[in-house]
Amino acid sequence: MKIDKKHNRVFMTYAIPIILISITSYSIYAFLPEATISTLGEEDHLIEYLTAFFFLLAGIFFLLAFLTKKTFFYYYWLS
Amino acid sequence: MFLGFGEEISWGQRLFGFGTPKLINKYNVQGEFNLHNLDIFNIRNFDGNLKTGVERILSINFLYRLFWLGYALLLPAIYQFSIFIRYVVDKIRLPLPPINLGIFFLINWIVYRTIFQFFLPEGKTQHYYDTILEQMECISAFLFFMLSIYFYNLYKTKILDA
Repeated sequence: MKIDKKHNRVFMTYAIPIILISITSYSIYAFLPEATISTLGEEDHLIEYLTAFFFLLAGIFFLLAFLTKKTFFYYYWLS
Repeated sequence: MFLGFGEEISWGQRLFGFGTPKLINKYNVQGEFNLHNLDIFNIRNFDGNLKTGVERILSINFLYRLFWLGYALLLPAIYQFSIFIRYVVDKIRLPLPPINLGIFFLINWIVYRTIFQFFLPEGKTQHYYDTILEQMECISAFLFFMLSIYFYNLYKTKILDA
């Protein structure tokens, strides 16, 4: 029972930001004018830069996780 | 992930202000220094029309969807049932996403398709309709970010526990 509660808490730690970001992101269609929405989605504007930023952060944390766990690839190719 | 980052900002082309080499410019639909907008990978042709059929399968959007579908959803699902897949994943110590986080990739795509098909008004500019595709990609990048934090915390905790 304790494990289930801990598991749920861990899951919610990730699920809540995901749900909040998704709702905020998609709700712009309900609140913002057409011109603003069009500008946001253009090349080299906010959404594209945010995508790049999240990919960069994901890359950094995957790399840190990789170095922490020291996988098969680490032992055979990098060590 | 680093490839995705570099491609999204065209490897810093705007930031550092360098031009597109002639060869890439010739085949890049948007005339930028990146691979994902090359004619073969872009979702649109040079004439601006959306690709269809086999051509569409090679588009980077489709390949990216296949990637997250395979890695975040199918792999964890198959891992439960296939001894061979479980052996390979365990052997190479591939980080296996928990399916309850992986499912968010699918939910994100379903929300995108639903809004695009049923809720967006007609007669708007192309950029207006492209924004929602960019949003879907942005949220999927955020999902990968969340996954990476999950793995990092998981491995760090395991080491501390040991």
